[in-house]
Amino acid sequence: MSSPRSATCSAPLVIIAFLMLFFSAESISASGSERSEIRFIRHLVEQQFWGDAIHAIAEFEHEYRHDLSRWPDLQDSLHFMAGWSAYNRMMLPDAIGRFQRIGETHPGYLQAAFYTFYLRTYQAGIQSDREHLMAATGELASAEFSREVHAELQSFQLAGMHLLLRDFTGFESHSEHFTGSFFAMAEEQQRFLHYALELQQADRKSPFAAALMSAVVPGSGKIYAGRRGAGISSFLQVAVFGGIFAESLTRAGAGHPRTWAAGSALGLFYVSNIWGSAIAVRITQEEIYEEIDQRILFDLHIPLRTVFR
Amino acid sequence: MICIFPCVLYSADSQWYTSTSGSGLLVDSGVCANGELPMYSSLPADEGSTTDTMSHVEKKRPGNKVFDRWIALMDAREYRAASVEAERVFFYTGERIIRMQALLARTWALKHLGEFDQAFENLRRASPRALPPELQYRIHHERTLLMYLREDWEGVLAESARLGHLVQNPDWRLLSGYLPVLALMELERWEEAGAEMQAYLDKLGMPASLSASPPDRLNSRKAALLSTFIPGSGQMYAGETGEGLGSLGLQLAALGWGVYNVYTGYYVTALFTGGGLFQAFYFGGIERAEYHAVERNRTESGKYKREVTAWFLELIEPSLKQKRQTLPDLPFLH
Repeated sequence: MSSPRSATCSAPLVIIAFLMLFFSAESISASGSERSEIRFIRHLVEQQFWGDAIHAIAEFEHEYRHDLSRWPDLQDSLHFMAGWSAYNRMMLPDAIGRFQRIGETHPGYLQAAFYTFYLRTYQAGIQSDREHLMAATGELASAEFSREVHAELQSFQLAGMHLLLRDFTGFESHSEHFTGSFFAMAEEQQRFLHYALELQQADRKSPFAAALMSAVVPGSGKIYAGRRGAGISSFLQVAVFGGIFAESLTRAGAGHPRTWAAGSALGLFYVSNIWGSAIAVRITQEEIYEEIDQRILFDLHIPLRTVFR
Repeated sequence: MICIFPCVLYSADSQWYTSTSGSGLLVDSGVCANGELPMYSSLPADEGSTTDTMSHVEKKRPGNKVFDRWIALMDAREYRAASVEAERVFFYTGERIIRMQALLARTWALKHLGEFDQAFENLRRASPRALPPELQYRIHHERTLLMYLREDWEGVLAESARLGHLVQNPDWRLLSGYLPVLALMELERWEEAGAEMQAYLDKLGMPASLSASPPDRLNSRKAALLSTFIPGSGQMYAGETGEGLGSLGLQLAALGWGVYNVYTGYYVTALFTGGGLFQAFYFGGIERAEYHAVERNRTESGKYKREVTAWFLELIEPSLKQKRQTLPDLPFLH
């Protein structure tokens, strides 16, 4: 996963600003040694010592397990920091679990909600898990945002989700809200529109048509599928064996074993060229889907980092 | 991790923490046997230090036993918790020397977690300036060792040179002197490695010398050229006699089939079957010859590296043990 890892580069600024907000003296009801320990945990997160931060938070939660319920803000902040650390350690289920436990009143709630959506999308997206993708869609779709940038980010995220689902109607229903006026996601919105076109074009290619084309002109079906090199190679193979067969037929006659052998080889190459062309359409489609899915997931991630900086 | 003997390097500096009561751990970590810090406690804290000297950790652990918990965690092999604890000491303590020790302590914990990059980055926060010489030495040594573990061989050479300039005690320099030898071995700079090794053994007062000679390197280009002009000979030169003979046989058979078809008037068949197969075997043979030469060089170099490094480390280990005793209260390696 290239995108979450790349987030670590800009993480210090994000984290320092965010945690300053979370751990202002007013936001924490704890006092004394607890407060000191929280300062220490904040230090771990600021330093990007993610593994240590996760451990220290777990230790703290264990030590003060009987008191934490009295400090809901602190609990939320701990969830946020643990989630952020887990996200940076690529422990995605842990990150999702933590982000989901953050209360709505917490200042990091919105960020956590968007990241939860993205991480769930990412997990389902790389596994092509349609059911989980749709489940993730439902959560964000029902949310309402007061700020325009968040509403546009919501449309953007949902549009990306529908692209992953290959639901072009759903994509259009969200992409029509793209204004292109937010720097954080304007480029990505344009790219999503291109992806939709590419995916629709890839969808239109027919394995049957490819097979038929290769039956008429060997290799042409593979070229139609988008594999020019393989198409030329198939054409040459069939042509060579056709030449050998023709030579054997004219010189040795139809009943000669040499002609039978050449004819069999020609038949084998001809049939496999037709079959291969039909398969090439499917494989090429899969490759295009996979590549575009990766790009969608990457592009979904970038605006999150910018909006919540 | 490709480096040959990380386990040897580990064992070299891990024995200290396995003893709970012995001086090894305590001395090695810069903490005395009772967990106090008398050695440095008389030294003043840095000017301008803003952290409370009666810190959170110190309040929790009276008697200045700031490393007690870290020691216990290392003994229990709970390295993540030990890393957190060391960072806690670093965070809460105002005294610079203790903070530097805490950085070292965290480095050791991270090293045992296999997080060499993090360990190295952690140690970059340490500034050896104006520290007691044994602590300075440890920081330099640990940096060099971590570069080795991160397979930054050139870095090992550069850091070793720095260590040679900055560490005055010749015995301590010797304690780290094996690292550039190992790095040169990894870089396959055999002559330099041999010379460095001999010089190091001489400094240790060991009469032994390396008897094994580096493997002769096969010329991959020569292997390819041989197969170009005499099919199969390149593979034989690279030590693959069977494959060379097989390649020769296949090329002759393909060529023979082509010639036979020309003779019988089947020119198209001759061109595309005999000629086609021959060119495939011919060019494939050239590629295989080159591949085998490269592969053989790699295998032989690896074997030589392993054998020589094992011999070298085994040879110097007893002598290093003695030298480590010269590190006052901080023998890094046992």
